[in-house]
Amino acid sequence: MADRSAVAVSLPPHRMVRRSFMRRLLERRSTVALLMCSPLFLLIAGLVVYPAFYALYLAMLNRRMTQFVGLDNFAFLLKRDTFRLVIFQSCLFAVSSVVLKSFLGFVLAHLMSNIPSGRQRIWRGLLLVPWVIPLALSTLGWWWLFDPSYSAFNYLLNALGIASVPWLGVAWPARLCMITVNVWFGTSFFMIMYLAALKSVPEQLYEAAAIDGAGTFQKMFYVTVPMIRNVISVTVLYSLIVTFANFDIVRILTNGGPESKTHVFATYAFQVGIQSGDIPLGASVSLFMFPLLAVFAYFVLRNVTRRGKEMTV
Amino acid sequence: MSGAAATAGVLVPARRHASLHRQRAWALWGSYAALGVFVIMFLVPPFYMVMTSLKSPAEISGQAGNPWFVHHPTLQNFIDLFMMRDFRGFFLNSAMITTVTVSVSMVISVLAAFGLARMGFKGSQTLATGVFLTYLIPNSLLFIPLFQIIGALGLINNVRALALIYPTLAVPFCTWIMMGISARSPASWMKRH
Repeated sequence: MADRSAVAVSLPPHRMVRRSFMRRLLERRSTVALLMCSPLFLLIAGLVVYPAFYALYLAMLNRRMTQFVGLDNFAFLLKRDTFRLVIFQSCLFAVSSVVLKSFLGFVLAHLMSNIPSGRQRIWRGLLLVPWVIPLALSTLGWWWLFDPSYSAFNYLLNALGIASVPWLGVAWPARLCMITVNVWFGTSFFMIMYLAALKSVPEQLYEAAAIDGAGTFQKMFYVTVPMIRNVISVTVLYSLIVTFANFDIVRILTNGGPESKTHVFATYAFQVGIQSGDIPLGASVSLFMFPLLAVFAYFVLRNVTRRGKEMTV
Repeated sequence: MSGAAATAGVLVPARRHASLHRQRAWALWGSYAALGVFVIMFLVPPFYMVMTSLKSPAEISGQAGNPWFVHHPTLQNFIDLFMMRDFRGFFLNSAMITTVTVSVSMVISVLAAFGLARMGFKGSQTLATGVFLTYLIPNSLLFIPLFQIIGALGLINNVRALALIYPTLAVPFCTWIMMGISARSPASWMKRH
């Protein structure tokens, strides 16, 4: 610091003034911080915010993208039976997957916290396998398992004397298969979140509850659940967003079939917008997700900020 | 507090202690058993993928016998795969895209996270919330406009498009995680020398 100012003194006066101004600007923390953040802002502005508004604009064009048609695309979609099915299927897929994932994750986290922490590592590693394999590849594995002609599952069913099931060829079994794959993939994430939350519950609370005569279930509902409520709600809402917008599973497992009875928003938008080339209609399909996601995001954000406040207090 | 708990533990009668011990042992073994069931269920698809990868095409198309086990294991599939020119190209593509994505998103997110979490300037809180919000935007909401943008840039069917798209999807998440880490690291590390 000291020798640097000595160098500055030896410079001509006008340069010194300019340099010190630049230096003062650079030494201000906010300037440096803004500079450090600028690549992020550029990226988000260019490839998230701009596309989002561009999607809105696209959704209001006609098929050839030559004319502005207002909300006609949305009205057209809502009149189609296929699209109504898509809405139903997306909600069914997201809600039932998330409920199951949350329940199984909760059970797994409790099982995990029962065993000594030294042994938890290996079990946690094994249970995280579904979450680590790229979803597109593991869905392909599931697709083989469901394969109708030489299906591994049907082999087991036949061995038990039950007739083969056309897993992915009929609407309801196919929908259940989608949910199964999603639950298989996502339960580990819930387990990890809940396990971390369970570790933060002070042991004294359980001791106090035990002294008051609380049983296992009472401890769970009056100590554990209230203490980790925030983590539960943030995880569930976040997972709802991700599951709602899921693309890979449906695309690889059924590609929307049979007869569009397993399409969800993302796959339908892809089919309409990119495969059939009706980009405005595809953009409107994907924008239908937005209001629901915005509501979920609002609640996630409220919980996150509240948790932040609790932590600082 | 922990001292009080320890003395309470000493005062518990021995019989009660034994029954508690037995209860714990049951809970422990029950947990292991249940976890084992879950692990088996979770590992079914990867197991089946490994089994299938060891089968010869003839065995798969023969459709005879138990599909869960491989009767004549062979590594021919893997050998064929590595001999394929295309596959080597695909592998190289994956490796290159991964390297580019990881390095670009790490640079962007570490810088931004440090700026947002440690150098708190006016509005940094709002911006952090904004980053979190973009993390909540699923990519399937954006792929149609991004398809148009990539098309306008002339990058359709080009590997380089992925080097643009993947960091976009990864950066908000990385920044969010890194913000937690830089907010927790001790302030004394940042003191000027």
